[in-house]
Amino acid sequence: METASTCIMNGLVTSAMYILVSLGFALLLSIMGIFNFAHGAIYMVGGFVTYGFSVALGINPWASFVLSIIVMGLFGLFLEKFCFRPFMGNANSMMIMSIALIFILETGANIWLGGWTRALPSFIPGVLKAGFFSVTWERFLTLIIGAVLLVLMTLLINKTTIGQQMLAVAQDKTGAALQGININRTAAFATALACMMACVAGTLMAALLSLNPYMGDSILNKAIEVVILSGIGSIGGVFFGGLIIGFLNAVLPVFISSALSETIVLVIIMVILLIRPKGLFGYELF
Amino acid sequence: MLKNPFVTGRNKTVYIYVGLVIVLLLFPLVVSSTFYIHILILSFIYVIAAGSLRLISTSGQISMGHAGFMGIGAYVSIYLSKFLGVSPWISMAIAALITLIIALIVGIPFARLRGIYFTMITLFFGLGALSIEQLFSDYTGGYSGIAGIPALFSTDSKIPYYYFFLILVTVCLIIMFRLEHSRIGQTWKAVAQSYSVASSIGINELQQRVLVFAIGCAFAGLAGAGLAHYSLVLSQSNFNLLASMYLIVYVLVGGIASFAGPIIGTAILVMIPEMSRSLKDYVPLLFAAIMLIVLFTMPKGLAGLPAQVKGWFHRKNKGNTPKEVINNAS
Amino acid sequence: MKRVVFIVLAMTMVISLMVLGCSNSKTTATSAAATGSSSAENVILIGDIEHLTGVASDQLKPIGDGVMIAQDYINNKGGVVINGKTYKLKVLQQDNKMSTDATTAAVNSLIFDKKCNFIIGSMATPIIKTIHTVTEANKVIYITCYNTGTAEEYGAQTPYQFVGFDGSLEIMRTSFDYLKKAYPEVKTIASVNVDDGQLKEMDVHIQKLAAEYGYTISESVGWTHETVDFTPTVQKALALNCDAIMTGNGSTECSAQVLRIAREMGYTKPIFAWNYAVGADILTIAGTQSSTNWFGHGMTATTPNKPALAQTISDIAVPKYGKLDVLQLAGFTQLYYLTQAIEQAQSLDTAAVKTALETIQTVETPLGTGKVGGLQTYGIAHSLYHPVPMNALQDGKVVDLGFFETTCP
Repeated sequence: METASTCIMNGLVTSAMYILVSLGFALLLSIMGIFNFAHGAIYMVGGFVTYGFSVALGINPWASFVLSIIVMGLFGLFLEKFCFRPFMGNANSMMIMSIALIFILETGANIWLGGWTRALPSFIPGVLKAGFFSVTWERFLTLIIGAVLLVLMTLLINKTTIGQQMLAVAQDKTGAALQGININRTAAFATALACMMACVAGTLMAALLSLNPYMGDSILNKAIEVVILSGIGSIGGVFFGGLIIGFLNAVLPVFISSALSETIVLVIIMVILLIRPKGLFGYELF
Repeated sequence: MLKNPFVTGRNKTVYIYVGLVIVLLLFPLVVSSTFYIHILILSFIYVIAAGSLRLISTSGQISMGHAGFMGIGAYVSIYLSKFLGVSPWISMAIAALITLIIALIVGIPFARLRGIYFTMITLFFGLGALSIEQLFSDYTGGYSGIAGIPALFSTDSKIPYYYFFLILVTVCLIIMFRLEHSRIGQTWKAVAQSYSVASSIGINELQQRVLVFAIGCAFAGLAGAGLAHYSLVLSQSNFNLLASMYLIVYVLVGGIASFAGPIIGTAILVMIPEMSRSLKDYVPLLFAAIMLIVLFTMPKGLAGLPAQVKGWFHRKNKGNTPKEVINNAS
Repeated sequence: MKRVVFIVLAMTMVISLMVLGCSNSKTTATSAAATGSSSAENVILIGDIEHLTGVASDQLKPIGDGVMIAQDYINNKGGVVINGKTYKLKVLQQDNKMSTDATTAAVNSLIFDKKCNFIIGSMATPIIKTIHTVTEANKVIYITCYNTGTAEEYGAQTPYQFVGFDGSLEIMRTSFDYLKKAYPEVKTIASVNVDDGQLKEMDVHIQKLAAEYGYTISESVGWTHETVDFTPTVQKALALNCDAIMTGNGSTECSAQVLRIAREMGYTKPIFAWNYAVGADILTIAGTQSSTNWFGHGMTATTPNKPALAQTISDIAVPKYGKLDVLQLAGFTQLYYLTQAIEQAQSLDTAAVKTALETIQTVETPLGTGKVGGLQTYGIAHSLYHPVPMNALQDGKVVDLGFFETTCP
């Protein structure tokens, strides 16, 4: 019974971790059609920025969390204007740009900040126990924030004007422009939002795991898995993709070896993609 | 009368290639530095991989699992030669063949996917291949690598390897060139332009895409096996997602539209960072700088640079601007 | 016009960077060719291949720093004296980028172009294997600063390879020694170890060593480098119901996460790391609440009663790099061992130095007196072993346990 409850709880937390990391990536891919390889690197930068504010400058952790979200939002605006805007629609150029970004961000972090072990202290220490379930507050916080962000994002896309504008831009740029939608402003907003979400994910994971310049690489793999499985074009679907991959990664390794469980996850994803290439909830946007 | 640009253009590039091969043949006689010989050999191997990646892209498919196929070729060849005692020459050939077969088998279900979905499934295949190789770490060494791979030549000198890989890459590139400019190559390009139109004129576009994918991956397997029997030590980090991304970058920076693209792109992006070793930590920044320069200033990649530069001069000097055409006609 | 200017500027920048890179290597090459075996400038060229970029470089960079500290320290002390002539050390540090291609390029460049007869560096198994493939074939001496314990990495088949710092099996012995003293009630241990292709072989070593000490250790719980969350790993380890958990090679992250998650799940028994794990680092990642009943091998600048040499290094490292890291000492020792052997051999001839490295009776290391051994364990006696620092975590604080002798039969 204890194993079952631990597995369920851990599955939920891992899913929340993956959903958090994948949301920004899904936003850029589904809404802007940008396959942002640099998402992992931005996630890493987000974690380091929060570290800089909270540990190096000694600002209150929650305040530094908010501060770094703002900083990363601004960074997203900069990214959109100088890095993504010239290459919108050209997938090849976008690929080169985002891969170059990875090198720049990771090398910069390595030169400036490498060689030290760093982590963010927990935002909320302690363990929460309720009946069979026991989870640390930090993981619970990640779970809650992941769920809240997911809901917020889905509402944003479906219910607000700016969300509908983003969808319109994704479907048909010229048409959207004809409707009076400012393409550049929409793109800027989407990129800033994606970077802010990467920052949230990076900060929470820095508190759960640790910080190093290359932590974005393995997380990128997971984000790609979740988003492609959920389907390009669907933000809400990230919930299901995240749940499936999260639970598989949390439960399988308990019973079989780590290496085998990774293979199984990849095989499952490939099989699903072959049956349903658009993913579970995707639809052809472009 | 305007000269036929196809004829003049093609003659010139053949001379460039022949000249390049001659320079490379004579290189070891002039330069004795093992370091330069080594990075040239690496370039040859990766040119085979990048060239085959570009070959696949002529049919409109971009594969992000190419390094995974290199890995398959490498590990099959290692298994055959190290554990079964087959001669590395034979095991390389068999490995390329087996990679071809595997690519055919997986290519059939993969080919039903198009565009970015194809790219994604190849990406996951690359990850999956690596993951399976990790399971058999007795034979692949897993992350910590495998050593003692049988060498192609029993001498320690790099010169035989240099000439072998030079000949290999020349042969492979000639095959790829002939394929691309043959009737089959034209069907691939037709498929790239429009699936439905190609089907409507009787091309079995599914079959063609599987074929080009399998051929491309076979070359990748050959390159991987070559790398194995040259380096004598391999780790999984040679064939992970980052390695596939590097291959794509080599092709894109060189210019995906031209045949010379992967050659130039690979040569520049393999050799320059290695030659600038004394920059130590900053080398990846140099790599990124090259990528960004090409990205922002050369829409057709490095291979398109001569044409681009010519374009500037044409605009300034004689050209086909309306005024001049009218002037010349009258 | 603007475009042309931009391209010209950009090309100039790239080309000048390249020329800068090449010319640096060329000038050292020409000076190497000039000195080579002649003692005109009295320089000993040592090639050093380190983890400067790439995966895990953030943890392993201090090794390279330690090598440079050693170079300066030895040169300032008067260099190496051979037959009355003073030689200065010149370390040529190269990046292995955690890639076998880059490492082969580096080692080829160092041996053939720069004419180094001595190569040092690197801690990761695939890199070590790549380097020794070339050094063994060319009879170049290669000294690493760590040894995982697997046959392919180091053994009788690599006669020119030496290990210049305590390896994993030496440290494991001290862990068990300490465990016996501090936690005599422990009889069974759950082992968590990285599954990087060496797991099965490491398990053989672990079982053998455990049997010597009377411990029962199960098959290792493996984790891969793609693992983000260690909870399933810890669950598996806890399910074994052992009196202690031990983590090993792989990363500080794993050791810290295992400690943290196990404590959060209510496990109160001892947890330890049998590789280099600095208490302060583990504390940073695991948090004060979980950091108790843990020990590992590491030290920081504030560790008391350091041997004099370690203190000297600390005094150099802290202002320069901000901290003293046990891996800096590893980098330092691999070079210092080499120079002491050269002084004993009184020659730069490879065969003589090799013999000296094997027969040297005592070696001064930053952690105390070291000896060379390992014939029984590895099939070749090329391992330098020396006292190792241990630290523990109790109630969220780092406790320095002192320096412990190691053995290497």
